[in-house]
Amino acid sequence: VTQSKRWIVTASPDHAFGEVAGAVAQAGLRIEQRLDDIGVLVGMADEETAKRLRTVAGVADVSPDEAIDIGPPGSPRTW
Amino acid sequence: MPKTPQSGGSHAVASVSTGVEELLLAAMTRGDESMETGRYLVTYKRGVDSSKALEALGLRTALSRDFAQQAFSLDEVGDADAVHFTEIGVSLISGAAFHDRALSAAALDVDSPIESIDPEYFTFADNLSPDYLRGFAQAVNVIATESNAGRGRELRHPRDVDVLVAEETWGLSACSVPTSTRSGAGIKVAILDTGMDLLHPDFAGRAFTTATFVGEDVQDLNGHGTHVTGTACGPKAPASTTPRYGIAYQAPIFVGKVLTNSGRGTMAAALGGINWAISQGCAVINMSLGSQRPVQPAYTAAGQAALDAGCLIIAAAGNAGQAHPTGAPANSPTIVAVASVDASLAPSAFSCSGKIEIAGPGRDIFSSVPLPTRYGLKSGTSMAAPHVTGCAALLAQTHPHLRGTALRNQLLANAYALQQPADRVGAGLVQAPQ
Repeated sequence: VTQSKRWIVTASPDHAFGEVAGAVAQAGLRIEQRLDDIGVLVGMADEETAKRLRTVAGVADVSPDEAIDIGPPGSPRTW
Repeated sequence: MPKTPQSGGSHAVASVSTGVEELLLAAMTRGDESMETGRYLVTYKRGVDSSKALEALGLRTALSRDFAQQAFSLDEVGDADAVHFTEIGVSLISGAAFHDRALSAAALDVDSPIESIDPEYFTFADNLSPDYLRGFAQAVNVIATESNAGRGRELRHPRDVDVLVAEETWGLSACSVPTSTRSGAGIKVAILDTGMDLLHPDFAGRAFTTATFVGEDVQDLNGHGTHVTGTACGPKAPASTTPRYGIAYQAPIFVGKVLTNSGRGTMAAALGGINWAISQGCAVINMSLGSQRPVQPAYTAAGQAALDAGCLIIAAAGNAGQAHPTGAPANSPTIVAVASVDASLAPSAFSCSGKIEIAGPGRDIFSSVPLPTRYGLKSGTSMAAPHVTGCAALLAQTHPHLRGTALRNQLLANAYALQQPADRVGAGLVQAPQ
């Protein structure tokens, strides 16, 4: 059983964003955030599905969500 | 005679397992500047078996020695009324237990095993005194003036260094902010960070629009977001006798909380924040955050979408050091990467190099931090970026066509050229429009 993880899907600007969103949902991405103003979708899928998403028309990139850490409260030096 | 606490009040959240962030939030919400957490510390008379004393009073007590190597976390004690620190003979009890059991009365009883009950206080690592800060601000301005003179550069508005209180921080002086006639009025500025201390007196009456992308209240308990917001958008005249540290003092502020109070976040939250800021019509977005990763296509797309919408994203290059490349999101070609310079206008040792567009003051930066501390010094490209963001807001105010790519180009053209290579300082030190 492959584990589901969070992916950042970037749509190509030369495709209608709504159509890309529909196509990746069809391909198995459980969409959590639809960011219309920047053409990005955030959602959950397993690795196999993510591979499939990369072949969907209008998808420019599929990358795993990554952590950001600027340091604990009160840090004199941060990012 | 045992000491008894002087204050009471509502301490509903002050259980022994409540996290410090929640306690702080509760203290801020009730406007309590006493520094009390709402919990109490108990000590015992000599010869008393302190580990059993609270049980005798009917309190459910967790013992620190029951945890592996005594390295337990307070949030693991569940619904206990008290935690007893076995080795030092001190107990921490919840506010509710203190009030329900009338422990102040119990402590006064001569037969009581209790020696004292005192309020627990918050402690802060960077609790600098105002006198120290004033002295420091004066010193850095002296250094800045001298080193600039030595480099053949005169500050455009030299200050009398003998004055007791500096009029502005070295960073604002270096960016020619004090002589700018602009205020950022009408220019919406988004700060995507750990949130903001919305109760900070220096921001009383300011227009805030807020959103959270991490499931926590926007109120900043980390300090980073409040510091960054202070530099970009702080007041022209701070409420207390501190130097001016803020740039776009009339800009409407859009606070997007994309990092938790512990300073952590995800790319998904940061992207959600960018999307929100664009939809709100912000002209400038500050991102004093990132990670050491190659260019992320989603950030590049977001940066392009921002430019297309007349919005400029400004991001901190990162503090991994000169040998390390600019991190993401600053490494995206559609996003302005900001390096840090010290008061001598030399690149800061921590500042990443490579894809750098511009530099800003980033070492020993004085700005706002959450109450009750109010002000503090921080260093990093995180502090350099909001100098650029603030100056970009002032510049955007000079002409309605200065948006997106046009704003970026003019910002770089206005920079004060430095001698260091472009991969360290880009076009040079950011300057406010005059």
